[in-house]
Amino acid sequence: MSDGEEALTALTIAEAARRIRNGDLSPVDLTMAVLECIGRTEPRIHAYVSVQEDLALTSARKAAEELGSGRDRGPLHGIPVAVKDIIDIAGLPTCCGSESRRGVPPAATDARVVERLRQAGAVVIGKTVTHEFAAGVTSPPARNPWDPTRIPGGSSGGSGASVAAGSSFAALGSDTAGSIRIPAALNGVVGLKPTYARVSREGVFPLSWSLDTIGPLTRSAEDAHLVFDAIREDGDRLATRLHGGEVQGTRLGVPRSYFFDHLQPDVAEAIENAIAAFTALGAKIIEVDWAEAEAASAAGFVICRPELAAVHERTLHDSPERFGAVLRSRLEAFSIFPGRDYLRARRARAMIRQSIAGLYSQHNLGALITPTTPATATDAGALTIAYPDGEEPVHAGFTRFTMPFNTTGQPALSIPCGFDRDGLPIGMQIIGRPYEETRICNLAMAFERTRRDVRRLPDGTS
Amino acid sequence: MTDSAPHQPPSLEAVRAMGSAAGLDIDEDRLPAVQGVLAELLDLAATLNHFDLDGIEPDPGDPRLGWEERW
Repeated sequence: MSDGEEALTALTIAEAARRIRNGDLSPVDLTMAVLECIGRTEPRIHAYVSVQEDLALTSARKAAEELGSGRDRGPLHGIPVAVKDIIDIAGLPTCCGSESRRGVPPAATDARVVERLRQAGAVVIGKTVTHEFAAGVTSPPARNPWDPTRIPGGSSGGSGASVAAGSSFAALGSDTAGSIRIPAALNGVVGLKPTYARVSREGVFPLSWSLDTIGPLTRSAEDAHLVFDAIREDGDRLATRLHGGEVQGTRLGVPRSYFFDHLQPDVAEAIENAIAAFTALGAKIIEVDWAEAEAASAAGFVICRPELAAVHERTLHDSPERFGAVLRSRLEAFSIFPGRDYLRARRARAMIRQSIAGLYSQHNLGALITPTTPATATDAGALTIAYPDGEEPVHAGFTRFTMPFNTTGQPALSIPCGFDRDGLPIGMQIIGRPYEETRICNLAMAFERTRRDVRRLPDGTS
Repeated sequence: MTDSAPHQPPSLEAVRAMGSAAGLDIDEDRLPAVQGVLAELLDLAATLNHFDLDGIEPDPGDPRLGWEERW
């Protein structure tokens, strides 16, 4: 590997796009550098299910030709991206990380969100590992590039690992209980869960129709916004550009109860430092209490799980042996869960959303800030997360601060804000009002500028 | 109306009967696992019992349906 290749896969999309337009970098060079990085990192991190090398190079050559002839599709033009393997790519099977999907025919068409990426000129490199049916946070066999003995988080674990390792510039993920933000936090990258229903789910294998949200994982807040801008269904492209200057006077809510319970000490310290950085940037920090946070998490899971069973109803009846024993038992339990309780959660969701709207309105908040996860990446075989005041099952712990905002449907972003004593990344969550993705990306960009120390890539990858 | 009654863990017999009614063939050796998962989810659902939901319709989750004005 040359120094040049090393530098290329460490660039952000915005940096690469500038160099492409300056004429000192071509989409083909960029794609070849990413493919080389995949070859070097995959034996350790297993982020990809499949890599379409020839198709990617063909797509990169086409992008170069278009740019050379004066057709510029925007900042993603010629940028290598990866796609979570619950999202259809025409010509490839969508296996969802499950043996039960072995032998499914290739997708006939691209998912809407992939179509959007291609329209923006992106070079689709391959499909990334997901936790089985996007219903978990460990994403085997993918591993964390910061320490391959640890999990990359999930369910978009392959996407998070690939962006951190330099084997993609951006990757699509899906987020039903935190599945974009959790791997973003654990891999030290940015993950944006847009407002519910703002990005199309057409061609995406469902986990929970009422909660599933598609979004990007990237190496910077600016990049997350660029990808979001390309894939969202509403509004004019590039109508809003980031400037990272919206912090002065912004009122940021810090919900001390629930979101600061049971934290690893290094996570707590990193978040306090991040809050101090926002204060130094001119933000007004408001301590708030959202009494319905725990109920928001509970309602999300009570909605999600029966919907998961409904998604798999036919397979569970016709060929249940296709599921592993654990997943089969879970699906059976969710299938007989009372409809009354499911509907009760759907009705509680209405009240929960009223309560969070009231909190923002009462305090005139621009955003909330919380840790993304209470802990850094656990060992791959760990069943629990340890805190000074106890322990918690891995899935419950990693989704504790993220699921509430799937229930409310707000946009939420995870951004790196520090490292623990073992050198593992820590994520901070910034949660905005509905449709205010640009605002939270701006806040994140301002934070990145003032805390350049947190933008790092793992050794031995890029 | 506020329903504050806690859920009782379903018995193995109840789980078997519910599975059968749903057309599922739940093996005897998997019944305890199914029972445990179901009990856990029922407990979670019970934490929502403090909400007074009179007159509240199920939320479709779509922010386009008159959501913005509440903020």
